[in-house]
Amino acid sequence: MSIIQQQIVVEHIQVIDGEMLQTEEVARLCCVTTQWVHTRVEQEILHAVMRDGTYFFSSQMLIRAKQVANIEHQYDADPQLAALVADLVEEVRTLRAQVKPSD
Amino acid sequence: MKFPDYYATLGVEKTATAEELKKTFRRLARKYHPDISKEPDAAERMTALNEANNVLSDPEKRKAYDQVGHQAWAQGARSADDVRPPPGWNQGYERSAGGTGASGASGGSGFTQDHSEFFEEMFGRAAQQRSNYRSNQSGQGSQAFNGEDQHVDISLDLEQAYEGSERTLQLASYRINEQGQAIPETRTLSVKIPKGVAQGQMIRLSSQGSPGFGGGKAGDLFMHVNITQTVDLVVSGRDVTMPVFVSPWEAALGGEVEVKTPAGMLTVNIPAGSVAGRKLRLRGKGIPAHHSKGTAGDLYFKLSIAVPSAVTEQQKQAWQALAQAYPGFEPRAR
Repeated sequence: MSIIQQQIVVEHIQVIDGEMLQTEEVARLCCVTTQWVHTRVEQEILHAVMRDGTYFFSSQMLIRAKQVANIEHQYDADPQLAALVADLVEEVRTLRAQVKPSD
Repeated sequence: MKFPDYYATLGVEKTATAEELKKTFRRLARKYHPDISKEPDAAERMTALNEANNVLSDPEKRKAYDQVGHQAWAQGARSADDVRPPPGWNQGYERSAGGTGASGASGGSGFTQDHSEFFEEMFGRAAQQRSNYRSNQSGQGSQAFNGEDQHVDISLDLEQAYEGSERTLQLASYRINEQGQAIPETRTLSVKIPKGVAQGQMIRLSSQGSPGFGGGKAGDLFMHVNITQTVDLVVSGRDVTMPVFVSPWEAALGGEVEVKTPAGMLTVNIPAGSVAGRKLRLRGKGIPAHHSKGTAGDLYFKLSIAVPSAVTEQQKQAWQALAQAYPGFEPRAR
């Protein structure tokens, strides 16, 4: 069976600039509940900006939330421990990128 | 594409308890974590482990998996009535390709989502759609499912972050036909990345994720931006740190120097008495803002002192004169 080929020029993109993602979106993308997200903000594991009573998250924070959620789920980990692991993983990635020889 | 048995993937017997599965998965996940593991195939192993664990750690999925067998499960079967994807559905699946940019660097892109799990979910939904189709035929109504969001990593070099670039992404996908069959499809997306995208930012391509079923909306495609760094070029958000080399006399006496930067040729004022390692900041010369109301990052210069060699007699005498001019200078007395 042949595979359908489709060429698409994407006209409209959205750069998630600054804190633009709301709790529900972060929860959906991380496969967690909104309560999970709120609790992690209260625990200072995730950082959010409050505007008009609503939390807003940056894309960097979404990535962190996904990491923390995955670690918690995979290891039944305490949230603070999961956050510590996420911090360490990010630190390792940053340091590795810096020690890579330039081309 | 090979489909190893999930029990074999985890190295457990089919009679393994949930606790045994959990312990084994955690041990292997630590061993093959892509950020830690030294194994060459760590990423692929981790994907396979996650897929196996997602099925075997869920009692209902595990039961269905044991009933239909691995081969049928891999082809999308969740029960005897489930839809089978057409042959070759998984062929032609590729990681997304690099694109062209100002510097001509291709950069890498990766489909970081666990795509096996993605296809499993896809055919699970296709089975539901087929069931709905049959229900429709008998007038029992249908149900809409929204498509999954998808994530992909893209790498940009600094020049592309400053100036923008174009990317071509090739994504394996599927389309559900009227008979409820999943037809493989390759979508090639041409995307213009605007200037001013910072390290770690996400770009959302609306409705470019997995298609929905039964009238459901397509998911979105999220591109996660990674700006290539080196030992010399460090990016943090929109701030950029780069080295600048100055002569000993420039460091000692100060003055203006011309430096080639990602923001173009810039004049940098070196304060007199500068030492190696000193950081200078040029505000607003980091990665530009993405939109007019945003704020550009800053450009930091880390000073290094380039010491010229003393080759000719005149040069040697110049250095000796310098040494004599600093009789009390003890660089190692710190």
